[in-house]
Amino acid sequence: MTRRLMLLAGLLLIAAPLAAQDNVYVRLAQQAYNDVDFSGAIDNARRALQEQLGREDRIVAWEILGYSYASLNRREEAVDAFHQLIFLDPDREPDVETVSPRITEVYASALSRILVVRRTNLDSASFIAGQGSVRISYDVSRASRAVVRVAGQGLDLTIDSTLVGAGAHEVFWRATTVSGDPVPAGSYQLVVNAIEGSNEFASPIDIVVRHAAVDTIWHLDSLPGYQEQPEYVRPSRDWRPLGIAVLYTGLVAGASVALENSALDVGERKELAGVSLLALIAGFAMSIKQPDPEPVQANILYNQLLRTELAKQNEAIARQNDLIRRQTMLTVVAVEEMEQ
Amino acid sequence: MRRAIALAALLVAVGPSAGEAQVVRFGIGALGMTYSESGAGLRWEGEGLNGTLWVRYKRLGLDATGYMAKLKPDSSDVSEMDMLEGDLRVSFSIVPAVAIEAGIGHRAFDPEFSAQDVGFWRLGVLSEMPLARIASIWARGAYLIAPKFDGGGDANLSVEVSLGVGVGTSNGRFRVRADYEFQRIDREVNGVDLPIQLSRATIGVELGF
Repeated sequence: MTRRLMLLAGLLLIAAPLAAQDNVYVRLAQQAYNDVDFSGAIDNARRALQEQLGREDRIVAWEILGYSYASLNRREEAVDAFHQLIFLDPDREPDVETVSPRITEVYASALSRILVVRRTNLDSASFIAGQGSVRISYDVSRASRAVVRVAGQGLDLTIDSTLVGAGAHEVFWRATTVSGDPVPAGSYQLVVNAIEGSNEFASPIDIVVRHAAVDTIWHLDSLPGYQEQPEYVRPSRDWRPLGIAVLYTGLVAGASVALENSALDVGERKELAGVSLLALIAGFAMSIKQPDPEPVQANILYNQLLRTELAKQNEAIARQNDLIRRQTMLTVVAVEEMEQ
Repeated sequence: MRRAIALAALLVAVGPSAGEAQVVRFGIGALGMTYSESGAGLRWEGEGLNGTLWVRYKRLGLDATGYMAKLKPDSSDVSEMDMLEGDLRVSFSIVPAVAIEAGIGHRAFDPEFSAQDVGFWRLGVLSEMPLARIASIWARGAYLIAPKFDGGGDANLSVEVSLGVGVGTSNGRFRVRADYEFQRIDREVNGVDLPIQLSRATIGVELGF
């Protein structure tokens, strides 16, 4: 009794729900598998495979067969079924979280006996042509020569051809032609071919290459962290003009009075008084007047230096923008990702 | 006088071109003056006109002035007279505010012999200081060398001092200018003192080119 309960629990554990299908035998096989009736599942799956099935039904039928044979410990038959499954859908594999380790071990054994390329993937990327690349990753089930190609738009470019061991690998594609120009925009097929003697397996995915202009750099209005200094500064108001006027007027007035000839009638000295008064008024007016701004030589030189440096940087930016305007921004996307 | 006019004309001819900064100014003004001669009883006062030419080129300067005035005596013993005077000064700046100055001058009166016509050389100093960008003040002092009089005689002491102030526009195109000039010539004829003294104020406008 205890053994039967344990067997039942184990069978429940290895049974995993499978997706609902169109073909009646596939549905029956799936129902039988879910009911832990592995023999019934095998019978119905075999019947289904004798009929015209869609791709998804065929995958599910071979999967039920592989799982059921593995569950019944019919290893070779399970391996055969998994081979069919792997050829049909290399990326489909048992979920280690939900199926029995026995099934995954048989699946891995089946996988190691045949040559396939799985999990072919292209990471979408945008980069300036010639300055970046896009990552392509894939798994091969056995040691082989892996040839990675991109075909389309009249091009057939071999990106990589190398001997690789079983496992995950990656290559980087610069999306340029042999001459270094960016590949034309459009649809391409990325194909990873694994070749081992007479065995060969190809894993294609569709990709799209788009072109766009590269953003140019803004010209600078000022140097970051530096600012121009005032070239003219208005000095503070002072009485120097009046002082100069008093000095000059005093000197001349004193001299002329001192030089007067006492033998002559000097009159009222109104000429001296008039011009002296005007001179003093001018001195006073220039003293109370807001002084004129005066150039600050150090600031002028500093600003000239800043402008020269700014001009140099803008020239460099202009040259860089000339270069950028000739560049192309490439975006490489896998079609599957676009559909998602 | 003819020599002064010729020299002024030459300097104007070789002066800076019109494209340069305002280094040439022409001016016109009004004057008031007092002229004394010979003794306490001979004193004239009057008004008139003057014209100026002012040229600066690098460290060189030229000032030419012509005066014309009608003078009235303060005594009925002497008659009215007309004065005509020309002064020419050439300066060389030795430091920014100080220049040495040399020149000639000639003063004549009409009617003839109503007062002493005199001609002289001058050698002196000019000092000009800016009060602001638009204003400046200047002072002069000069010794008058070897004055010649139409009535004869010579002079032991002949000096002049002057004061001027100018205020104009910041571009130098226009300026108002006032000048004061004092001149003393201690003329002596046959051991008799016959001094001459002049005090003159002018105010006018100048246009710069």
